[in-house]
Amino acid sequence: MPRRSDDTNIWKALANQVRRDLIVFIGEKGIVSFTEIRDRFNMKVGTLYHHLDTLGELISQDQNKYYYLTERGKRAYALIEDEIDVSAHVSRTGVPAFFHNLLLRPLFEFFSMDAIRPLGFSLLIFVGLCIASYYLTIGPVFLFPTFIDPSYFAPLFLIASTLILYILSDLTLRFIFGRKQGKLALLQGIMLIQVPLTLFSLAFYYGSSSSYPVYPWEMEVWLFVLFIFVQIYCLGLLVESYMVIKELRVEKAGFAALLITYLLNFLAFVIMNYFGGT
Amino acid sequence: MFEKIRTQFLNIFRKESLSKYVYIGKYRGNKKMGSLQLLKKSPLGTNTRGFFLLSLVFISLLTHPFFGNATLVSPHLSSNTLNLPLEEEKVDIIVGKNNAIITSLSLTGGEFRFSLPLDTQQFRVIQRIDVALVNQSKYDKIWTNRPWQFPDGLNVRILTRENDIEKIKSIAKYVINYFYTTYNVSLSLLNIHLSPKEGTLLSFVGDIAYSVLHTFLDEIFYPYTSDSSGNIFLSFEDLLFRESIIYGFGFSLMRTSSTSFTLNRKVFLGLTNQIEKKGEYYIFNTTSLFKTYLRPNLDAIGSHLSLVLPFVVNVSFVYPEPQNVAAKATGTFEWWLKIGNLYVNEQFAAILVYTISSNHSLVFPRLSVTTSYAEQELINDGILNMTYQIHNSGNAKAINTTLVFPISNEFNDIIEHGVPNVPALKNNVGIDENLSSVISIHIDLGGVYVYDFTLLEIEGWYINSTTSEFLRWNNATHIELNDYISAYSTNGLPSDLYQQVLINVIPYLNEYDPLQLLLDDQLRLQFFTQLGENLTVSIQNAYQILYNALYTNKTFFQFQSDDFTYIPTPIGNFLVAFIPELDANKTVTLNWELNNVPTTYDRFGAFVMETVKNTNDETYVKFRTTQTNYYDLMANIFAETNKTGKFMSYYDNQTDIFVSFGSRFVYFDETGREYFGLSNGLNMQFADDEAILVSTLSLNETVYEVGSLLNFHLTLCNYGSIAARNVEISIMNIKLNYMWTPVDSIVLKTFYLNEIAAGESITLNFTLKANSYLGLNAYIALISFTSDYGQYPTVTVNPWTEKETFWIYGGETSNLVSSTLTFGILMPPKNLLGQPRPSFPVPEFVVNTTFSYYENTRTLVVTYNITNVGLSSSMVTSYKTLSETAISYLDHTTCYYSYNNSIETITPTIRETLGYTQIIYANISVPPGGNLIIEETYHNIPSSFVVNAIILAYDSEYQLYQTDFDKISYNGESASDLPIPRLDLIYNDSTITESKQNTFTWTDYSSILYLSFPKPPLSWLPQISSLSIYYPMLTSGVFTALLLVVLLVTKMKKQRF
Repeated sequence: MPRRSDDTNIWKALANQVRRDLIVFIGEKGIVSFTEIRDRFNMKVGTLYHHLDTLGELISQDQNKYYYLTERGKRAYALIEDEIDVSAHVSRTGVPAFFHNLLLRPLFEFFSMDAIRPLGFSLLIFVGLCIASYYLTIGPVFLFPTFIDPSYFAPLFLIASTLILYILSDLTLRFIFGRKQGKLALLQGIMLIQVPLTLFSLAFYYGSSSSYPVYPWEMEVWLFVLFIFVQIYCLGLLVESYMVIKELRVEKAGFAALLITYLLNFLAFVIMNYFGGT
Repeated sequence: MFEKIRTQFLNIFRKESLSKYVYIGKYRGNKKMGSLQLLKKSPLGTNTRGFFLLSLVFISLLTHPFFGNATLVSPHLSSNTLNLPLEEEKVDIIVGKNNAIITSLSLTGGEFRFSLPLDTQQFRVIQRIDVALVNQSKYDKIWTNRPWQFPDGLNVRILTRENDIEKIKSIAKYVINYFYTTYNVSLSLLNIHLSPKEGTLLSFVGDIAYSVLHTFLDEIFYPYTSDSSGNIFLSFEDLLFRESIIYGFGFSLMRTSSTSFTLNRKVFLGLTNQIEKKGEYYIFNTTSLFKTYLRPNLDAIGSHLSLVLPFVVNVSFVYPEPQNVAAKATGTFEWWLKIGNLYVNEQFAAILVYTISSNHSLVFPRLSVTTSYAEQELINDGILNMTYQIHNSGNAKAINTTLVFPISNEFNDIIEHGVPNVPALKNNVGIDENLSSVISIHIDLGGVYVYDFTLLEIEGWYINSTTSEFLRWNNATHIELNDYISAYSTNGLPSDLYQQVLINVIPYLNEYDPLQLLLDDQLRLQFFTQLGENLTVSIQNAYQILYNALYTNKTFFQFQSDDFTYIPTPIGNFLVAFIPELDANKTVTLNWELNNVPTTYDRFGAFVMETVKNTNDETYVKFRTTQTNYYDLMANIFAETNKTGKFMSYYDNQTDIFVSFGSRFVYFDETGREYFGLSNGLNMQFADDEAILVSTLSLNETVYEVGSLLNFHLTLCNYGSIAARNVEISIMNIKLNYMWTPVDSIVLKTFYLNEIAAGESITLNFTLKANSYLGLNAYIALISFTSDYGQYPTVTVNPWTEKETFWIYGGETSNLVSSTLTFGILMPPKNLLGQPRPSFPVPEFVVNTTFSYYENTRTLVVTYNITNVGLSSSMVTSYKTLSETAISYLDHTTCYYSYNNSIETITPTIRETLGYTQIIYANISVPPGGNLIIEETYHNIPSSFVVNAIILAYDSEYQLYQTDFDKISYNGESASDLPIPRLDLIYNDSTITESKQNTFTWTDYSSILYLSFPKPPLSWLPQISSLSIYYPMLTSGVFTALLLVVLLVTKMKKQRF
């Protein structure tokens, strides 16, 4: 129950508007001196200290007596901004945990905590994907694997598709939700998303004719089911990466992923019908 | 030369026929009333038909081109607008296959506002432009071939005199660009023909959307698209969009000078199930077709409707009564709706009921009329006895046969006036040209004054032709007039002169005393003066007395006939004969005569009194009597009055040919069905030795089918006195219209004879294949020849004045005469099931076009299967014109000829013209059932690709009815030996051979393929799969749905996910 007690203190700390403003001020500044706080809030020093004390574990002071938000303070800040980082509250057990694990949450958390350390591994995987696409002569146009001739264009399509997806994701999350953090982690997460697409390309290579039939249901059933599954899975990975790396709730991550999906599908349709024809 | 003659044939025929044949129409208007009576009784009166036809003639005189083919007009050109008089509005209806109808509307001239920049530099070099929008893909439901020889789509055809390649390319580019920018239609070149003589013919075709038809139609036919211009065009417009199975419309604009044009607009429609069948009867009603009464265009000078049944039928009922001759026999029914300001049918509707005739044992009369005369009777007796042998070679009685000879003005003058003021010697009077005598006067006044002077010189004198004694002649050589005056003659003097001297001079002499004359100079002068006057009076009196005693005025050319009536009318003069009945295999001879025709045996003397001077410059009188004949006198009269002496011919200025087409006749069978014919022409000439040909064409067969062999006999007899040279004979199959004017003709066979000697008779036997003009199938021979070969114009001398005149018509002349006209009844051929079929062109060719496309190599294989589904063999030329671009995609071609399970490979030949490549696939005779298979393989084609049509030119054995768009007279093929798409019937050269006769060149086209494929990849870009819209939609939808489900679940469980 101690976690419940902690929550109670937080709600108490945030029950006052002045204290909420203090959290926001410190959250926006990142690190701030008492003088700056006093100048900003223009109130008696005693009153100001009372509110700072009441914030308790939400804030802390460094060796120079500058205030900054603790982890709990950051959550409070997010709460105030109505952008609660729920990841910290994800259940680690039961059905949700199953789906989060299926969607590689631990990996994304790993990327989120430290994006540098797995970078080499991620690049290695991506190079492997490029090589595979070259030999398969299949590359993705976003969510749609396609035969590409000549084959050296396949890894180029893979790289371009990954970069475009990353740029669109980053821009969308930055401008809509103000999420700037975790750029490198997100890039690695999106590189990871290409893995199931490449695996599906293998199936596509062996199970499909050279092109998409006009109607999806003209595909072989297993291929069609696999095709839908892989696409949904990839989009699930995308949502999961947004949730973990960009610390978004599932609704917002889903909304962002849906928006980007529409855009990508439109782009895929245009590109494949402009260049398509074989 | 002969070609020129033939070309003029129809025009010449028209010129005379218009005015002449109307008379027949008047006669037929009231069979019980003689022509003369009818005309006298009611020239413009109660007989509507007579009035109508008479009106027609007067209008035709005023607006002759209205009835001709060539219509030259001088329009006002302002910007893109032409203001021409709307000369004719013409509706044609032809009954097609399976009770279908093809109907067409033609407008000649009229206002025109099609947005062509006629005054631009590029258009100024274009002699002619045809624009036609056509859709005939279902033609086989209506007709056996395409009514118009155009491929489907928008066709633009230009004829320019330019031969410079760069300029032609520039024109082609301009035209293509113009139609693209103005109408958003992409044209491509269909065909090209070059000729240094004729210029260049370029054909373009482009695909058009159905939705733009209305725009084109209204623009082409503006301003006749409103109800105020009658309702005929509106009816066609309505039918086009409502019921037509096939259609075509367009215009043909031809430049005649820098600012003058001729314009023809036409729309044709094919409609199924327009003939109602009740039992064995077929009923056609114009109101069922047009859904309204037809009202002619107010602006049209003439509005006309014709209905044609292209097969032999028994017509049970037709209303209103057609205005043409022999409508029921020929199956062509014609009505005028409007002529000038006269409305013949202001609101028109017609109904026709018929049954199909398949009975080959038809019973009908068949008359032939041969005109000839007895040359010796003319030469010896001066009697031209013109006989008309009318023979009925048919198997039924001919009723009310009327034979009409429209006589020339010259002949009319002869009949009405004879040769004026020709003195003839009295009987038994002859001439001795050797007698000469000089009569002089000697005066001796007492030896002091002695005078001698010549009074009269006489050259030649009259004798009694029986006794050879001089007539009215004194042989005395010395006559004492009184004591001091004597007259002396060398060989005597005319007794009448002597008498006149006694009367006029002696009393005067007795009044003077010789002594006083000797002494008184003044009196002597007076005496001599009066003596001279009295002697002059005596000579003049003597001349007159002698002339009156020896000569009488003679009347030549006395017309006489018990069979023919001479009928002068305001519109022409005619000799008309009438035979109430003529049984089968019977012959009747009619004749008319010209009596007192001068002959070479008729003597003629000229008795001239003239004043002459002797060597002393003294004046005296001379009686000169010369002998000649009336034949020469007649030539002299013709020469001095510039007449031809060819009174049965017409001189055509354009061709310098004397033309004679004989007499026309009409008769009826017992059912009232009309028949008509022509007797042979005769190039009769007075006062000249001439080769005169009488020609008779006869046909053994009476009823036959298309394709039957017909046995003809042509007899040529030279009735003249010298040989006919350079005889060119052309056997023609002609179609006559309601005015008995040839509206179409085909030269079937030609012969050449170097000479037909005087009195020689030649018979040519030949066979022809029956091929044209179902129903009354008429044949005639046209014979051109030179008479007086090698002779120069005759020099004639007037015996009275001794003046020399050249009679140009007495020298070598060219003549064109027609033979008798013969005919049979031509039945339609039977189809493969043994049933009569409409007489449309055979053979019939079907072109099936298929193609296969191989996406991975972007390869297109187009296959044309050309099959002869007709009834006879034909020479087929199959070719295609490809642009530089198209040829770059063509990988290879193959061509096979297949017949009776045997396949032969044909190697195509290739030729370059103006940067375009023409591939000639085949030039081969294809029998029924035979087919050509042509394969074209294109590689790496672009996404938008047009496969040009294959052009199929083949000889069609016969063609009944001209349905095609207006003609282009284009003969140039110097840069190409390919048949060009000829749109009309053009006479072949006189060197036509047996194997080439009976053929028309017909043109058909394969479908044009307008293909659109996925775009080809650019070489530097990757190739990837295309993606249909379903995939992104599916993915987005599934993901959206799944996300909604997740959110819903998390909400319901109030569980953060």
